[in-house]
Amino acid sequence: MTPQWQMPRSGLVWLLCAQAAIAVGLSAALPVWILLLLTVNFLWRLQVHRGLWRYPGRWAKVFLLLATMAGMVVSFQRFTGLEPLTTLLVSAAGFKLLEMHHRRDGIKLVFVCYFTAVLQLLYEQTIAVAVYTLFCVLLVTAALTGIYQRAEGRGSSWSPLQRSGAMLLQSLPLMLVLFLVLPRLPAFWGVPGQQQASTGVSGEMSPGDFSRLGKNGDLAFRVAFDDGTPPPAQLLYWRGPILTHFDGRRWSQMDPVNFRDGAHVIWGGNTSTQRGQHWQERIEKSGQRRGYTLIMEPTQRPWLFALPAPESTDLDVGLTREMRLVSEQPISTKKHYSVSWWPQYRYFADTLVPWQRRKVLEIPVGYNPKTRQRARQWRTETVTEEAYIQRVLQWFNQDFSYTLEPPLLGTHSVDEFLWQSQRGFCEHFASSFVFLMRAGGVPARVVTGYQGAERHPDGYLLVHQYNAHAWAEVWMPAKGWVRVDPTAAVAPERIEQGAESFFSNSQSALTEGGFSLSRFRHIDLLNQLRLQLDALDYYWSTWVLGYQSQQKSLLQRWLGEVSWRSIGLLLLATGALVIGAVLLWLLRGSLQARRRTPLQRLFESLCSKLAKAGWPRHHGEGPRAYRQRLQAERLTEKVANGNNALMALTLYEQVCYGEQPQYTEAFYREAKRFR
Amino acid sequence: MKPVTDKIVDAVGQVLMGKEPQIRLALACLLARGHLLIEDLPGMGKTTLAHTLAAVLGLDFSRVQFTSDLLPADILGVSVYNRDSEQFRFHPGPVFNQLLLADEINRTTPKTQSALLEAMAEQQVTIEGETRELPTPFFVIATQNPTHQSGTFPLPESQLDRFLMRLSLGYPDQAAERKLLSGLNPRSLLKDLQPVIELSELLQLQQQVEQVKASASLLDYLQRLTGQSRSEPGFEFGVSPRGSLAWLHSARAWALLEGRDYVIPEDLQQVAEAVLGHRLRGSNELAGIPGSQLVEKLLDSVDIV
Repeated sequence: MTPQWQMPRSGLVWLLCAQAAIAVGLSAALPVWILLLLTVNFLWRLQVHRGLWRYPGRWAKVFLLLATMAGMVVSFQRFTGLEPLTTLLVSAAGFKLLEMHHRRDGIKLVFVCYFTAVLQLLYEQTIAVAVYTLFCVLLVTAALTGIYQRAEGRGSSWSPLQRSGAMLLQSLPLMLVLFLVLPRLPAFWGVPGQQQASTGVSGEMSPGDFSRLGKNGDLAFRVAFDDGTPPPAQLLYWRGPILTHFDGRRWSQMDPVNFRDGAHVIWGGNTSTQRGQHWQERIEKSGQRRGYTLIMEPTQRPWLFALPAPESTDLDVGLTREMRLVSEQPISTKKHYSVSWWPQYRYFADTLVPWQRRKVLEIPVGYNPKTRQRARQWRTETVTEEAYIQRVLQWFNQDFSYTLEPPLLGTHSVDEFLWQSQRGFCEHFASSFVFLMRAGGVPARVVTGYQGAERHPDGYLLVHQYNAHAWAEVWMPAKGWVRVDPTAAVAPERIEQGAESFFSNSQSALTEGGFSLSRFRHIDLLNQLRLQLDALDYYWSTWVLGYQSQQKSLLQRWLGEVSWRSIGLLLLATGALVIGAVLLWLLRGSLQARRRTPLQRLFESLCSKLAKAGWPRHHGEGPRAYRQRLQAERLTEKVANGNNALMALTLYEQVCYGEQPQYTEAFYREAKRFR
Repeated sequence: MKPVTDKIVDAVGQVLMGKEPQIRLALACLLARGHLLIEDLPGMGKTTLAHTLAAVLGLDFSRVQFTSDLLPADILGVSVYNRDSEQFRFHPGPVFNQLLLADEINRTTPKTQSALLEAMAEQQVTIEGETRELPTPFFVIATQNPTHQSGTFPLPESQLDRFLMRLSLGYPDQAAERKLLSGLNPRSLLKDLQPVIELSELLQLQQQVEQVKASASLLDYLQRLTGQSRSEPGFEFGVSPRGSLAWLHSARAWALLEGRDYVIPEDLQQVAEAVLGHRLRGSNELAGIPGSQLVEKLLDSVDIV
């Protein structure tokens, strides 16, 4: 027989399997050397398990520890952050294998494994990862049951897995209940940002940025309109970062400025109660209000995308002075937010604040002299701003061509583009258009974001990285900020038909974005498959990941706003209820046996009266034996009405056991007479 | 005028001195149409009790001394070829008596022990394919030595269960023993004993036992007791339905001996040790505890209401 404290062998094998599976699942986040180290670790433990090798000595363990620390310093240069901590935890759990002798060590390790298994979900929340995490949990639970299995226990070595599977299935209803009931509260701590390269619109723009994105087929975000009918393609301008500052080559965002007319960002969309947000009042929206929900893929950046004139009531979404949405935290997981939009809008139509006007007219000195000169000339030739804009757009339309592979540009990028190459992508047109406007004295800025979308058969929109776009906004008196898309003047089909159909027949197909079915969209069957997979992912992220932002959880509906304290109280109350129910169930036998007839109750009260007088009835003592004992102890001489008690006992026996109900009245009388 | 049952007890008590409770229990067992097992050391008066009861009740009596080479036929009887009539003639064995004393039953082999089974349970025996009725009343008193003595075959539970009661006589108290020593030899007293009861009266008493009332409250109490013995982890197995029936029946007989026509909880308690002592066994930590203490524990753990 195995001693109680020893580690059962089948449990150990399952623990090894579980740890290996978790390490594989986390392999993207772990450095390569740690994977190698873990493999050596596992093999070593396996050899120990087979009785071929011995446990490592103390110095070997110290060496392993120091080597891991050194490796982490080299790989990460820090010890905080998600990846270093994951690495630390996984490697520590791996090393624990080499000094695990007792059952209690195994149990400890199992709990660490539960934690590391769930860590996978911090990195990705796709269906595949969720299923794989469940698989890991299955293995860990198998290890746990294996550890508790007695060494001499019957059953095959697969029985822990079977039992673990049965346990997971049994816990499914509880999981569903918790999923539906528990609200998703913001975490106590923020998950430190991941150091992952991300694609997408950046906060800057220099020549070539967008043409690179144009070849990328990755998903940027999905949009579902509440009424199911998205607006036409030429209105789908998803506004992102607004680029105001130009240094001659690179466009960048303006630093956030809190000015007299209000803060730069207003959080939560609900602004009417906040004071001093004057700029908010200068937005005019008209027409029918409609809503949509946007599910953004992680970008590690805080900005959000929306149609013009957005308004969101989500608490962690803010509206900036530039009329775009931002998030409180960088988007590290899929982000859901709902937005309202209006077909007609106008903002800052009355006047442009002087400091802002200065900002949107600024052009760097010493760059692009030819363009500046030509702009001034054209501006004097035209009377109004509209005419000037029209003049420029007309010129674009006549002499320029739109291409994904523009030639490289030198120092005076605008000059070179406008007067020499005349071939370019959206950023070239947007950049030079805004430059021309500013040089001509018209306030203008570059807007980056996405344009257009792919319509999924299920009714929602897919916006890919190749939809990335840059366009311009100019400010005109009485009109406010107006969108002008110079690309539309050059290649109207790009806007009307969408990027993918515009490029698919002419120029290079999508070449980036890793392994992606979008590369094969011209093959109908594969395209169908791609759309089906996307729908699966969409519903997963809408109904599982985004459950809390879609609608309030059941708990919130029942209790209103919830906090950690109310959750704690609720859990406590639920636990007490459950334990109480179990106790009640366990005690139900004795509770039923306690049911009494009125006759028995009166007998008991008689007994308790006698007990108070100093003659308690023994447990299990019958009325006759009791009476005889009381008589022997001379009750009648010591207690008044003692005779009544003795009489009552005799009568009780007659009524209860002699089945002579005619004495019932007499028993009641006698029993009550005794005090 | 004393009731007839008290007369019986008094008459037996003159031979077996100072053992009134055991005599009453034995009589109750007889009236409840059960069989009696007396377990005690040699020389405690087991056989005397059986003898005296037979004499006082006026029953046919036979005694079989059980030994390890005793065969079933020695008890049940055997067919012998008669040369004169050229036929087999059945010679009934000692079992065809109203009171059978099976002395030292645990000295014989299980095969012979089980030959008594049918007789005790069905009040009939089947010999050579022919079923023969046994006389009425039929009462087996078996004695056995404590099983830890050498040369014994312990009775299996199934056979123990056939005995309504198990008694042990124990040493007599000093006064009773002095009386025994100073008086005549009990054996000679036995010869002079006259029956105090007619057979028809005895059968009538047995009838009366079945008419003793057991109220719903009493049955509740009985069921709580048996339920407790079945659910309490201290008992390896609880009281069987046959056991609870035997208990109730014994309590009825006891109530009759007390001159009542209804059963009270005290009746159950009085017969409990005799009825349950050989039917209960403690589990685990209570394994070594004798049945009598288990019964006490059981009675203490259940209240009458």
